[in-house]
Amino acid sequence: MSTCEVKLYNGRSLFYACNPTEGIKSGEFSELQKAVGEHLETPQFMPVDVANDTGVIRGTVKDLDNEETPYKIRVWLLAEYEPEKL
Amino acid sequence: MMREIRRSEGLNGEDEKYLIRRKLLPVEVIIDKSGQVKTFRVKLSPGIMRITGVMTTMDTMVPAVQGDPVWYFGPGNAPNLFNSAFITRLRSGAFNRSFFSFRHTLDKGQWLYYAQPVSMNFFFVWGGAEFRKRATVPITDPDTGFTEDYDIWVSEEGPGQMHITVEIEE
Repeated sequence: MSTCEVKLYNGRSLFYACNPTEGIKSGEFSELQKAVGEHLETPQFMPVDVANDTGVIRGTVKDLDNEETPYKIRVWLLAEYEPEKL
Repeated sequence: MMREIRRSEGLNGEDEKYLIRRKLLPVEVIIDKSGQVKTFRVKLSPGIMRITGVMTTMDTMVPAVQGDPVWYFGPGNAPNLFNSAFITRLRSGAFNRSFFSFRHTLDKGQWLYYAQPVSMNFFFVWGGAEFRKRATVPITDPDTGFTEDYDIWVSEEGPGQMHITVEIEE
């Protein structure tokens, strides 16, 4: 059951992605999951390009009324640097 | 930091290798009410060009509940250390009377401490020894986890019998 809906916007407030409700889980990520970033990539997630002139990402978290309040949501953004040619 | 080597075919048909670096950025959001919408903003480090994934984890929170106000009273030796752990080890009780007094015989090297919530109004009267208000510190109720500021009064150093009288303002 989905707890909340998370959406991300680039710095210009344009909507780019996403609704990763399938990814919500209780507890923390394991050290292995943190080490293997690919596991965190959300299915059907459209990558959000960062607007160069702002350097910020904005987001919203909307409660879907399925969980007792209050609760704390920790949103983990997987940020990717510009590729470096080898 | 997570790293990955990615290969792609260049214009000349040869393989090109790129190093991809990724980093997890956590953001904490507290939902207080059903249906609530909260916003957040993350300033990214230079060089980050996009967000390629997002996941969330949830922690259930037990809200702290304010119980009935209590007083703390007792002897001790903490001339410059008034913290929550020290105060909550003293005797405590509820303000169930409008007028009450404490009496205690101190040993040498001991002081008498009395603490009450800042939020309550009192006429505060002292008797055989001089009490002075020495500090205001946040005290966390060990039973409920609720934190509020308390004023702390300290007597003169023992030995001797000290007493303090408290009258609650109606």
